[in-house]
Amino acid sequence: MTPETFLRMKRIVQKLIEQTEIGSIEWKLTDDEKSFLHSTSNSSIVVTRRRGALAGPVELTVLNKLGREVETISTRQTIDEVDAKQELEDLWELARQSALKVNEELDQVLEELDEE
Amino acid sequence: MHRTWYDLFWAEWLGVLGFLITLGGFGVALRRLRKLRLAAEAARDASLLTSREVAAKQVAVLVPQLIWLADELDSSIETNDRTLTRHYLYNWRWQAGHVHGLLPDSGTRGESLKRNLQDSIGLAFTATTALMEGKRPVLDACKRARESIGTSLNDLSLWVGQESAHSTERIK
Repeated sequence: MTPETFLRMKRIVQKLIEQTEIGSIEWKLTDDEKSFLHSTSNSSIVVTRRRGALAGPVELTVLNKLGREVETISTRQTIDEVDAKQELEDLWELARQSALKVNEELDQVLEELDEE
Repeated sequence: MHRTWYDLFWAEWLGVLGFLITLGGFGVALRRLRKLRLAAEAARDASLLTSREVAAKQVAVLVPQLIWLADELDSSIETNDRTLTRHYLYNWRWQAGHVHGLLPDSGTRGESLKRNLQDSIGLAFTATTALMEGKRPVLDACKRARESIGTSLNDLSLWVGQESAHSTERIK
């Protein structure tokens, strides 16, 4: 990956974090329980945690409208910047929370506990 | 000497007449411009309509192929054939991408068709990953992808049908 591509991928990760945090985009569950999907009308973005002994590496893959893998960025790659690795980890966690609607589920549990 | 507004010299009347003629000319020019704008808008609408009709016809040719692919995918899921299922999921990504390129750019319907197709492409990709893990039954590893393919296919068939009906109405 060229430095220019890396910068673009990093910007995509940051934008996805921002928009997931404010709830303007949502992630979907997939058949792979450790992968989450967000689609626009012209691309699909998949964030995956690979299997590993402990927490495996996180990957972000961009697929174009022709279904081809355009680029992948991973915490396993030699990413010099610690920030980029942490951002990918944060994105995976945010995507998981969005797809599983974690906060809504927890609110419901709290409500039910209050009623008991 | 006091002069009323109509008490003008002939040269001044000529000036007034010239002004009125200019105003009239301006009105005529405005009317022509409006007609031209309406004609251009009608031509643009007709061109958009034609390109949408052409797109719908091209997609209509590809829909049976997509249905066949979805059927084959179902068969490979039923027989729990991991390799064949991965092959058909990959083919779906390729074919769906081809159809995506033919769909109209404008309008919320076009957006929704494209987004559904894009979802099916992404889910076919993740199902392939799930199948490669090799631990779960095939059906379990590509259930969401299959559902999304079904939704996308239904949506496409419906759109093609509606476009075809509109096209027939216009011919009548």
